[in-house]
Amino acid sequence: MDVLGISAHSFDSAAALVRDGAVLAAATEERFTRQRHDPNFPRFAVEYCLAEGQLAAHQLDAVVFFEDPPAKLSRILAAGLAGFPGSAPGFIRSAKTWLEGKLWVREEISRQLDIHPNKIRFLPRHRSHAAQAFTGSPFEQAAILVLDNVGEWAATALCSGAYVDGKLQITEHQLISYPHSLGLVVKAFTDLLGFRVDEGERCLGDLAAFGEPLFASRMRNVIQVQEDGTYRVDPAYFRFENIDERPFGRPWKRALRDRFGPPRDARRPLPFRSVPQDDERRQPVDPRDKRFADIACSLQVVLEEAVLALCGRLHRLTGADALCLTGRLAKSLELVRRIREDGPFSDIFIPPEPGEGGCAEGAALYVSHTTAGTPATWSTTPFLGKRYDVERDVASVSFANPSYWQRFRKRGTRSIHGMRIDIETHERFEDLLAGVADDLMGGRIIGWFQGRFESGSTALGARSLLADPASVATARRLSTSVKGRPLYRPFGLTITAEEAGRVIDLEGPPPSWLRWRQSTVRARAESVPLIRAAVHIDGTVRPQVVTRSESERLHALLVAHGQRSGLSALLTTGFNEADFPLVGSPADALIIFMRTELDALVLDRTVIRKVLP
Amino acid sequence: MALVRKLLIRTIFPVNWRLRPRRIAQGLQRFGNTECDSAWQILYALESIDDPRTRAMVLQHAFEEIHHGAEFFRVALPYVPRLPYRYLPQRDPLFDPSRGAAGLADFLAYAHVGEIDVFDQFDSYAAGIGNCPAQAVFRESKLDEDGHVGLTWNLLVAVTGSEKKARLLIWKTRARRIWEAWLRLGKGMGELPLTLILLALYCTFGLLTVLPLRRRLASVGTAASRDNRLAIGEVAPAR
Repeated sequence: MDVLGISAHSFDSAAALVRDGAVLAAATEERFTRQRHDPNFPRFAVEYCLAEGQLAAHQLDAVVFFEDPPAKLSRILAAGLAGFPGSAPGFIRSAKTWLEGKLWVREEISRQLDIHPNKIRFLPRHRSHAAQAFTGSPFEQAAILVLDNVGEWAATALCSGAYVDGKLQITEHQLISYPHSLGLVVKAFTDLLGFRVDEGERCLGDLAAFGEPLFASRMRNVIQVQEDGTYRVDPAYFRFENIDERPFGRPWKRALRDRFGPPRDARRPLPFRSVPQDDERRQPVDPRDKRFADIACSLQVVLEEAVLALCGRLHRLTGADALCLTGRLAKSLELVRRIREDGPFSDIFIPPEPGEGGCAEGAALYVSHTTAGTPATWSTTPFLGKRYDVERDVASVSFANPSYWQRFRKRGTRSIHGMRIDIETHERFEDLLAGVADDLMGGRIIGWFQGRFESGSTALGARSLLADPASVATARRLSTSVKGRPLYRPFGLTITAEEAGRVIDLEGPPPSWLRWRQSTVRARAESVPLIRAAVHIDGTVRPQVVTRSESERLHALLVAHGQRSGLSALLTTGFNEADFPLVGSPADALIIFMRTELDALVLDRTVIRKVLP
Repeated sequence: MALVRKLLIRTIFPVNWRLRPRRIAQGLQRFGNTECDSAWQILYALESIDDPRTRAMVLQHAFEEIHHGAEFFRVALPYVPRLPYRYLPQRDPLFDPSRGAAGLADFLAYAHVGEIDVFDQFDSYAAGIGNCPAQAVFRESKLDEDGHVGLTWNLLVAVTGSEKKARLLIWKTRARRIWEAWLRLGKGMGELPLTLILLALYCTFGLLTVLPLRRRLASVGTAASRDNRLAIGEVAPAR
């Protein structure tokens, strides 16, 4: 049975092909279109999935859309009309967008794929989320917590999953509906703190480490945890109806500003440093900047309280020991850490892409597992994206003119005259490891491009930037001259399963949340000198524990680096520039190599290096 | 047509932009998006080019467009305290790989005409926007676009086989672009009555429903979807 899942018109459009209950291919549209969080119909992701499955669209047994557009429209119209008379511009803009396309999703899919509309199904969004999390997990029975922004109406869903007669069954115990949404509250504070909505949410958790929860009591008025473990959001502070349509209006009311102070001017950079130098530690922080960190910290604290209360309620409702966590808020590494450490569940699973992008997989998995049954064995992997042939791109690099690149280099990077390019292609992959490991030890930054790309937006070793974790100077250069991201944001740490126990507390095989970098973990003090650039101001790291079976090549590189540095670990981050998605194709990777201070690029078995005069 | 546009850009746009910095930021972002789209179109076409020398040349072209896009985004930043959302249009490839050489020729003709138009626009904006960092970006980008006009022309002649065929194709592309502009104008004009109808509906239903809707939304957890009939506090019976 072949089922195609589609998510679109929201955030991170994606497609996934499920064959006989297992995901064969999945990709977000942004990898193909170079538009970060591309919300448009995932035309290219669908093309890729069908090509990977060697299928024509008419051969599909079903196509499932990840949410129910008419139900969602009912919420948007209700929210718009409830804001009468001030919501007129937003209401009209929304209505136009829906009339122009969003309402006619069935027709759109039917037209794009040339299939009969009867083959197309809609699934409630929280169920798509829940199905993705549960079917991907190793559990036979589990509680499922969906922490979404908002789907049709549900913002938070408390569910449980089990297999009955070999078929998937998801029970919805409780739904918390719009406007009571933790995700939307985070969005509103993202805007108040001067970050771009839908983009800057992940900055809040990083920023929280620099603040104190001085606004926690005020925040508890905004997010009110109830005695039964649910929560309520005070709508007096928000205009969530403004978040649904682009361009966004301000998602908060004057009351929020009165309570927490004026919004941050994004033009004023924050002075915090994830890994401060000694002179930077001594510099006093402007109270105006400190306030923003305090707000972020307070939000984090209250958010954790609310989610822990939800976990308690879900545990009581289901009696399950294991938790499947999903939805956009499940991307918060700090939140996951708190649930792991203080929640009532003994085991936790988060899918590799818990946001809207993963819903395409979830929708297809739900239909496949409820109709055809669950396959005996299948395991979740994040490496479901497209594989590219790099030979043509490598050949074209010989004809490139590196001096010419200098004119178009990224602002703020060094100008290097007389630079040339050195290309090394090896018969065996193992032969390039020594050279690359030496490069890393020499403080060089490496672009790593191997195999199929990750289906979600987290770089897990298929498209990554790598550096030596002991060198703070290299990490700074990576932030400023390659990524273009603020210095208060920490990097990830990739480490072999064999040596992970030296950095964090780990016994036995790594759980999935460690393999896919889904939680912060406190670093062991004795390991800090070897990984100094990866340790955030609060003493935590963001580890990805690599096993040989999941990422053989990255594992081999880590071991080679370990032979030189004494620890098989590398500083890691996504292979992209700020505001652009992770690279998909080799041409995308080459462009970042040309534009930035990236020192070397490993494309499959080829190493391309910049050789300085 | 081009003259009218030049005149508008040099006279009305600078005034319009200076009235509100947000408009400048949005305008510059739009240019950034256009340049990024142009880069994407080139990268899409690159997938069907095998000759490494041509690939290197075309990749460099995309690289320049990406640089222009990034520069427009950079100069847009200082105008607003918070960045407006970057509007993300649906990518629609101009190049159809299934049509082989004919598809490539059509794409190059479209790219060539586009580069000429962009060159003219950048020239006008550089003159109209006044002395500011964005002016430098318009000027620098204009020079590069001049190079792209030559590059696309040479590639087009190489693909079609003669200058005459290339000119014919460019003429057809111009006609197609005029038709597309006409359709856009029609759509824009059609939006006015639609807006008025929606406004009338909003006022009517808004007046009638605002209070009950507010009460309903404020009450905790009433779920309205067909599939979400559970209310908060209510627990689903085990299946």
